[in-house]
Parts: sequence; structure tokens; C-alpha cells
Amino acid sequence: MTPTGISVSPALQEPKKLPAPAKRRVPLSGLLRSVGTRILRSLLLFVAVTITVFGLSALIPGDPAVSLAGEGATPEAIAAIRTQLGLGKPWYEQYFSWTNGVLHGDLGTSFFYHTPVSDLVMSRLPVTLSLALFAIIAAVVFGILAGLLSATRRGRLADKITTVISTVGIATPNFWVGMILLILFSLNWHIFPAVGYTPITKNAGSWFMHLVLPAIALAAAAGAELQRQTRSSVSEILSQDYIRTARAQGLTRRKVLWQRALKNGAPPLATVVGFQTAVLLGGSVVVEKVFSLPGVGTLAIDSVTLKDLPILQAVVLLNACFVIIINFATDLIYTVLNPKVRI
Amino acid sequence: MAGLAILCILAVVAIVAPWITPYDPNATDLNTVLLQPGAPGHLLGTDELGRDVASRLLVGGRVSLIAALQGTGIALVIGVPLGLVSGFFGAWVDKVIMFVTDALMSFPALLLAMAIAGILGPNLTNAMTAIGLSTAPRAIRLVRGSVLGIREETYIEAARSIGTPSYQIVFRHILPNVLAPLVVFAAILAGTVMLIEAGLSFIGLGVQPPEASWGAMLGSAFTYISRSPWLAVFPGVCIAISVLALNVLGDGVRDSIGKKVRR
Amino acid sequence: MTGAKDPLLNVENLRVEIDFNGAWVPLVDDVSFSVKPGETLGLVGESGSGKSVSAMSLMGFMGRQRGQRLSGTAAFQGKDLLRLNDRELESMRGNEIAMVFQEPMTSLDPAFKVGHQIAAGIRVHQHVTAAQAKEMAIEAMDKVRIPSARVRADSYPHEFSGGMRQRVLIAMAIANNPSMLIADEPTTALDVSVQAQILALLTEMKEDLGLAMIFITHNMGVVADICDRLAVMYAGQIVEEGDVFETFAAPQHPYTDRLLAAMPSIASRRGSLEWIPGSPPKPTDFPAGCRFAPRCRHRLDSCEQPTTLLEISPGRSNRCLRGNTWMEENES
Repeated sequence: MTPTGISVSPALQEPKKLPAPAKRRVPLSGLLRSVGTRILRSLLLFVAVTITVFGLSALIPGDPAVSLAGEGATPEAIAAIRTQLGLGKPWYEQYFSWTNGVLHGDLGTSFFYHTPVSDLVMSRLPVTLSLALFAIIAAVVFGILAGLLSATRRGRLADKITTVISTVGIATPNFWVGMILLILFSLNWHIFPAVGYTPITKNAGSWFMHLVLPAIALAAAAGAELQRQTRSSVSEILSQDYIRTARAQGLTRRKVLWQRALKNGAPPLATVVGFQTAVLLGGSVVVEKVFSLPGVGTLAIDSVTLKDLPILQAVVLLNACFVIIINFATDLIYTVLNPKVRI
Repeated sequence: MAGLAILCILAVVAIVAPWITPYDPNATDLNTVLLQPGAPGHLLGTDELGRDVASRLLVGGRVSLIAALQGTGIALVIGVPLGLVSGFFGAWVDKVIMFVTDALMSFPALLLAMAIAGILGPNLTNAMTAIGLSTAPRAIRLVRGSVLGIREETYIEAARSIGTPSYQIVFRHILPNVLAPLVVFAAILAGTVMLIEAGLSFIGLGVQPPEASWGAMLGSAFTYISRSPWLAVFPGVCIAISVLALNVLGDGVRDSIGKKVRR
Repeated sequence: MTGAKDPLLNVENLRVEIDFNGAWVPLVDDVSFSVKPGETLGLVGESGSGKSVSAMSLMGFMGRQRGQRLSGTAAFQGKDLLRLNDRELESMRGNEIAMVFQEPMTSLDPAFKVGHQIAAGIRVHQHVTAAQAKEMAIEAMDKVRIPSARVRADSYPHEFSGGMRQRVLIAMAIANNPSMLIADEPTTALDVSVQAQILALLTEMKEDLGLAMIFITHNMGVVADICDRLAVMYAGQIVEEGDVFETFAAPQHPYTDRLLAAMPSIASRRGSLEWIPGSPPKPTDFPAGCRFAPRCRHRLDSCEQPTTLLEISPGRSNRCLRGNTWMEENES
């Protein structure tokens, strides 16, 4: 019989999973080795990513130089592009000279602005990083809080309302959320500025006000996903035997929730946070456009319109590197949080 | 099953859309630009060129739904075979495929799709190819995961032990079992694809004017957001309802088959 | 030992009900028993007989949630356990009454070191520093014979075997010197050889610490090993209660008789291993009269009447409507 006796909740009556066989703890060197493996893997992924980004130029229809130079370009302009891309040389030579540049911080020269791409990207990066950081913090805080609310009040009104909100949140395009927020809070009620950006070094208050709406728009879907994940994993954890053991020791509901349930639920949450950060970075491109934030995303959209290949490649590469780093960090957190995964 | 009902309604509307629009969705009338919803003859108002919003929503929905189908289809056509091969044969084949998958998943799907679509040139087919390519890795992972779960089952061992050829095991035993989680995944992926398509069309990389899709309508509404904010409302609501229906359908199927499929 | 001391725990008319599609269904009904200080009461019955539900309701784990309700009283040290508020319940749990569960494999939190888990329970009830609590946890682990306790305190549960985990859970239970321990099938999930060790440990603990114990089991052999008295439960009710020796020698209720006959050691004495045909009724269709009647070979038409648990001699009670008149039929 189930140790809880007869229970009204069907969740408690699921068959017990077979307990895992007891394992000896892997010593610290094992932990270091697994970190080493992950670093190596991340480096390999970086190589694969550079190949992919470089390969994007192969997708250009027709003669790349002519196509990139645009209509009515002078032969000199076409020739300049041909030289910069190293067209005519074998592809691997092109790749190595490009990658060599990347590793030295040289991302090429913009066709349109005629300035180094790295300068352009670096000047835009603080905007995008502010926005992404703001959004991910908001998503994590509100998503997890809402998920805990749902998990502890499963089936009750608060859970139903929260779940409906998050279900809608996942289904709504982030840039549309941005547009609606813009209409309501900026154009109608004039609470927040509609567009633009102030660097934090100039005016922190203004910086904050400019980022609130775009961050909410960007955080909505990620927060909703986190609410769902928190709700399902925490409510599963709360029905576990070891939670009852802790309660039988006299630990309060609150302590059990914030210490035991959260730590046990953290590994899958870390995974979701990692994945959502990647999604969020992609989404920030369009949200930046809605709020006219001069970030990397806006730069990328402009580069597509202007056929400015070096900028586009740089932005795509940069985002992929962020994702690789985030995934590496997520893996690491997962390993540290879950004593059983230390293999 | 509310999700299924909504999807059926959307599908029917999308199919008959060209015949039920009150106006030609691309007919401009500069005498009636930016009319408010409820204006005589234009239930949901008109856009900046005097085109009937209701008509464009109907036709745009058709475009958006077909686009979602296309993108999902491409992702599955690429993802299912590779996932099957990766999961079934394992060893170095699996390692290579999984490495490429991981590398592709390092790119935010929207950004990768934007780059590919931007380079191929802005039109809907290119956009959907780009989205399909960018989301295919998720399909590979899902199918591979399901195959790995099934591969160790006793009946597969049994089939193998009596000398059943690999292709027969894959098609007769494994594929049918992968199907259930795949249906769930496809529904949820279609929602994701729809969201990405809306984003691409919003920034002008999807369907080209004067054709409409919900995302493209939001793109042009954005220009007039301070003068005619309602233009931004309806297409967004339509996207949200469609994606919601797909997600609810996916969750419903998952719950009814009682299997866990990662989003 | 009868009547020598006042009971530590006195449960009367305990009734636990759940909402089953809008109707209140009793899981446990008319359950009364008492436990004296230092005494071990065996609560015996098949799965679903209500023995765990009874224990869980004393700890506040059953009967308090939505769709459940409780009635009756459970007097313990001047308080009624069934009417404690959340805070009183939390300060009682693990402090005055502790509990050990059936599944050692799943009852420890996989994400925390075992020393930390034991110490956490100490710090709830005693004003000690983290370091002191840790020392006390190590002491408790020593007491339950976990070898090199100081090192093992820093291990995670998955590094322990089932028997060792049960020891950890017992250490957790005794860490605050409770006056009563509820052990819910503590050996059922363990290997036979380990079962004996855990039983020996529990016996030692109750003697050393003067613990009163409610020992829940379906195994009559274990009852004989460790219990002073036993209460046999069937379909949510106690059908017989009494001293272990007396009850084993002369069971008063046909169900107890059948349970004993199903025990291999007693069966060999009687010549054949027996079983009880049929299965216990579900709470939704408990018979109105004697709940065991449908499976009882001594059933009479009069068994359709409602039953009460009657005291037949000091410390012994029986619910059989036929008293002990059914016994003569057993001989033939």
C-alpha cells in the first residue's frame, strides 16, 4: 500500500519508481574531469558555430559580391567586397582567414557604415545585455513565484488564474505584447517613454524607465514557461515521501517549500532558464525594433535590410556564443545542484 | 479538446477565406483610410491604404496557417529521419548527428531564421524554409529521445533476435511508437513556428506586400501605432488564439496518452 | 502491566472520511485504542485496513486536507492531537511524536546530506547552533549504529543502502528524544536479513529511551517479536485488541484467527497453511453489519447487525457478534 494510506489525490497514487541503486560518491577529480569535458565540448561547439556562420555566405544566390553590393553598385564597390570576403580563394582559406579575424576580435568591416563591425557591435551590446538581463531576471523571479503559488494551491482559484495567464503568455508573440504595452502605458497613459534608450552611465532612472516595457514584453513568454515548469516539478516534489519525512520532523510548510522543494526542483528549472535565455536573445531582436532600442537586434535587422553580411554574421555568431556559454553554465549548475549527476 | 475545436474552425475559415471576405483584401481605397472598428461597412475598420481589416485578417490567417504547416512540415521532414537514424543506430552516427544538432541549437531559432531568410531574400517560402531548418534540431532530439526509450523494449530485442531487418524494425515497430509523442510535438512546434513567422513577417522578411499575414499586418500596423492603435490589436489576438489552440491541443494529446514529451 | 500507568496516548472514536464524488466515505471508523508509556502497540491488518490512515491522522497528515474530515479524540499529554492547529502540530511532530516510514529508499531527500537532514529536524525544536545540531545529528547516527557516523553525515542518501537509510530515518526520529514513535511498516521494504537488524535496533531504542511505540505491520511474526499488545484492524475498524501472548494463544475474533492461521510458523503447528478467501471490501462498499462477515466461515444471519468493540476482559476487546461461540465450529 502507499505509505500515505488512501489518498484523494490521483497524483499520489502513481506507481513508485524503482529506487536507484546506491552509488559511491565520485571524488573531486571526477567533477573536475566532467567540467573539463564540458569545456572541450563547448570549444568544439564554438568551432561548429563559426563554420555555420561562415557558411551563411554560401546561401547568397548568384555572385555574392554583386548581390551584396546591391543594385547600381560601382565595379569598384563590387571589387572591394570581393577582396574583403576573399572571394576567389578556396573556401577553406576564406574560412581560416575569417576565423582568424574573429579570434582576434576582427569581425570585418561593415559594407554600409565602412567602420569595423566589432566597434558597431560593442557600441550596441550594452543595450541588448541590459534588456536581456532585465528580462531574464523578471522572468525567473515572477515565473518561479507564480509557479510556487500554483504548486502549493493546485486546483484552486489562484492556480487556475495563474495557469490561464501563463498559457496565454506562452502563445502570445513577444513583440505584440510590446506593442500593446506601448499603446497602453506610453501612448495612452504616458507612464513610460515610448521609444529610445538612455545609457545607465548617463541617467540610471531614465535607463530603467526605458527598459521596463521591453523587458516585460520579452520576459512574458519565458516567465510563463518557468511558471509551468515550476508548477509541475514542485508539485511533483511536494508529493514525494521525503517531503513528508521533513514534515514529520516538524519542518514548516514554508521551510519545506523554500529549502527542500526549491533545491530539488532547481536542476530542471536551470535547464529551462538556459533554454529560455537563448529564446529570449532571439526574441530581443524584434522587441528592440518595437521600442526602437539601439541594440544589437536593431543592428541585425538593419543589416538584413542593407545586405550588410559582416554585421549579420557577427550578430549571429555573438548570440550563438552567448548560448554556448549559457548552456555550459546551466550544465555546471545542474551538476553542482544534483549530487547524483556527478559522474 | 477545446484546442481541436478552435483549430477546426480556424482551418475551415482559412480554407474558405477567399470566398467569404466582404471586400477584396488587397483593394485600396484612399477615401476610407484608417477607419475605426465599427465604421459602416467595415466591421474591424480599415488600414492605412483603406483596405478592409476583416478581409485581410481572414486571408492573412490562411497565409499564417499554411506557413505554420510548411515550416513544421520542413522541420519534421528533416528531423524525423535523422532522429530515427540517430536513435536507432547509435554509435558514431548518433554522436555526429547530435553534435550538429547541438551546434544548430546554439543559435536562437528566430535569429538563425532571420539570417537565412535575409540572405536567401525576403519571401514567404524562404522564410518558412529558414524556420524549418532552424527548428529541425528540436525534432531530431525529440525523435531520437523517443527511439532510445523504445529501442531497449523487449519486443524490439525479440524482433532483432529472430533476424528482422533493421528497416523493418524501424518502420513496423519503432515509428508507430514514436508517432504519439511526435503528434504532441508537431502541434506545439506548429505554434512556435507560427510565432517565429509572425516575427519574421513583422520585420518584413516574410510575406511581401500587398499580400497579408497576421505578422505582416502587425508590421504595417506598427507604423501607425500612435494614430490607429486598434490595427495592432486584431492580428495579435488571432495569432495568440491560434498558438493557444495548438498548445492546448498538444497538451491535451499528451495528457491523454500519458507520456511526457518535453516542450 | 495492566492499569499500572495512565495511557500516554488515548484515541477514542477516531473516524477519518474522504469526499468520494460528493459522498463522505469512512476510511477509518470507530477506532479506539491507547498506548501506555514505554509500551509497544502493534496495529495489524491487510493493506487498506486503515492502520496507516489512523497513524497518519494522529500526525496530522490525514483528515485535514480539503475533501477529508476527522472526528473523535486523541488525547496525548493533555492535548487533543486531532484538534491541534498547524503551529502546534509542527511543534509536536518529530519532537513529542516521531515517525518512521515504510520506504527508506524514497523517504530521504536526495538533494541534502543526511547529517544536514537530521540536524534540520533538531534545529526546529531545540535552540542550538548549526554546529551543535550537526554534533547532535552525528550522535544520533552513532546511536543507531551507523559506522563512522562523522564521515557518513556528509554523505548523500544515494550513497547509503536501504537498511542504512532506515537507520538514518530512525536517527532522525529519535534525535529530539520523543516520547512516542510511530513506525509505519518500517521493515516491509527491506531484505529479510536487514529486517531483523532494524527490528533489533527498534527494540533497543524503545528500551534505552523508554519510547512508547505504535508499530504498524501486516506481519504477525513481527508483532510477536516486538509488540506488547496488538490491535487487529479490518476494513477501517479494530476487530480485536489485547495482549500479544493472550491473543496469539486464543484469538477472539475469526479474522484474527484466520490471520494467525496464515502465518507459516503457526500453520505448521496446526498442520496446514491457510488463507482467507475473497478480498477486503472497499471503503465505498463497507457492509452495514459485521464487515468481515462476507468472508467469514462462521457467519450467521445475525451477523448483518451493526457491531461494537466490546471489552471481554481487562485489556482485551472483541468485535465479533458471536463473541467466542464460533470457536467450537473450528474444532470440527
